[in-house]
Amino acid sequence: MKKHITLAGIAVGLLISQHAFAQNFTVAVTNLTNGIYFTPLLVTAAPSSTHLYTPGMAASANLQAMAEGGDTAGLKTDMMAVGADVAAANATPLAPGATATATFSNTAAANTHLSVVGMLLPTNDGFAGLDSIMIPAATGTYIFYANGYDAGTEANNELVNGGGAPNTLGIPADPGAANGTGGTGVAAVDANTTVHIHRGIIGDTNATAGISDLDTTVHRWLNPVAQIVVTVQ
Amino acid sequence: MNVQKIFHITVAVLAVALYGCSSDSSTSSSTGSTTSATPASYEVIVTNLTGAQPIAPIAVVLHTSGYSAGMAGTSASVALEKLAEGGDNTMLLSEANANAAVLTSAGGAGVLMPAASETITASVTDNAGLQISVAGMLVNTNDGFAAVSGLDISTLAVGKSQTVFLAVFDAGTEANTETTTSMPGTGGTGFDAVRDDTGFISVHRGVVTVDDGLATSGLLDKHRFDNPAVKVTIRRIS
Repeated sequence: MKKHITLAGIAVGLLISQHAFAQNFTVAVTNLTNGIYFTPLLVTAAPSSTHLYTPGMAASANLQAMAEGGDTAGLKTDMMAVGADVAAANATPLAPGATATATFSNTAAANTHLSVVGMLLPTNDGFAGLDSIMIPAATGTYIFYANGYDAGTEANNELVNGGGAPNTLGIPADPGAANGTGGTGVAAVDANTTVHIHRGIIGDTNATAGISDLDTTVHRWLNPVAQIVVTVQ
Repeated sequence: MNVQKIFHITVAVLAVALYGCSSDSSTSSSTGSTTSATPASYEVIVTNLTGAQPIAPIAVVLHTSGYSAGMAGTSASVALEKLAEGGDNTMLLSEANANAAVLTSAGGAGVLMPAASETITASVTDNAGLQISVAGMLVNTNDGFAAVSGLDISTLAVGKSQTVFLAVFDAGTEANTETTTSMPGTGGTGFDAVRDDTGFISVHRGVVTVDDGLATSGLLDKHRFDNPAVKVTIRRIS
């Protein structure tokens, strides 16, 4: 009996210990929503202390640029600065139901944790986020789910007016072209100006007026918004 | 997601457990298994967590990795469409039973009302690589169903249990009109062979209802739901 306990102890020890070696793996991201696209995703393996965002904390300027306009250049620079591995996934907006795969080869030993972010389009500052998940050491297939977050940097007015630059109010576009026009605007402020779980879309059913340019029957979602399959080779 | 804090293998299992519908799930690194089969019996306790969404008789399938009831992002089978649009699990169960990777299946005794629980027992001759899939329609939707797909239960020890919380998926086979005539829960049509929606399984976006501005909806505020919608506890009894 004692032998068993010892063995179990060792097994647990192995499981929780940080692996620190180069890895080869793929990250396949599936868009689980009905009518929301993902701008080109930032998929990165980084040291465990690196976080692209922290719920309850204010977004960085580079996270804001990603969440409001889909621009990941700043976050990518941040990641390169800490020696992270970054792999490309989708070059164009990832449609609902579609899957994009990022391939990592021979990652740096310190880059033990996976993060994925991409803007939810059309939203004002919504993004799909998975922050700093430990990359499994053992060969196998592992599934994670990402929720929709609100960067807390822009009021959710739900108006599609081309506004994608940080601090420019509005939604850049709807790649699915299901949006209306002529809305008067939903929210004037964000009550929570830190990164938080997105409260979703109100929308309306009026294509030329109403409070929102988004469609109640198309653009809503419930979490999770993305499935992330990590296959470790 | 709190699963981040849990350790390697556990992470994968819990993540799958949270929101199923991904067949290709499990990691279960087989630990030099013996050659003899290990029979096992399970209680599957299903609880409806919604406010006012009865769930049509559920389907429970115990299988190995060669079977999948459906995967997010892909087209639903006709069997899954029938379950999701009409609450009819018979074709899904009969197709499962004809699949070589399925060890056993079971259907719920009836409609599972909000707050109600149901216990289904199932036995298999061998638990090597065993996975469970569960699906049941929310009847006040066009084609919404709560599901978990391909959850690995092969390492569950006798007397132990494992709990998963199910999200609601949209089969992508019927437009979410929410009209009274289009949903079985409101006395309307169940299965309709016409496919007039996205064509892929997604996470359900929820029902809008007439109370939230969809004038043509036959649903009320009480019919709205969030994830999770169903709790499933799998207990190995032998």
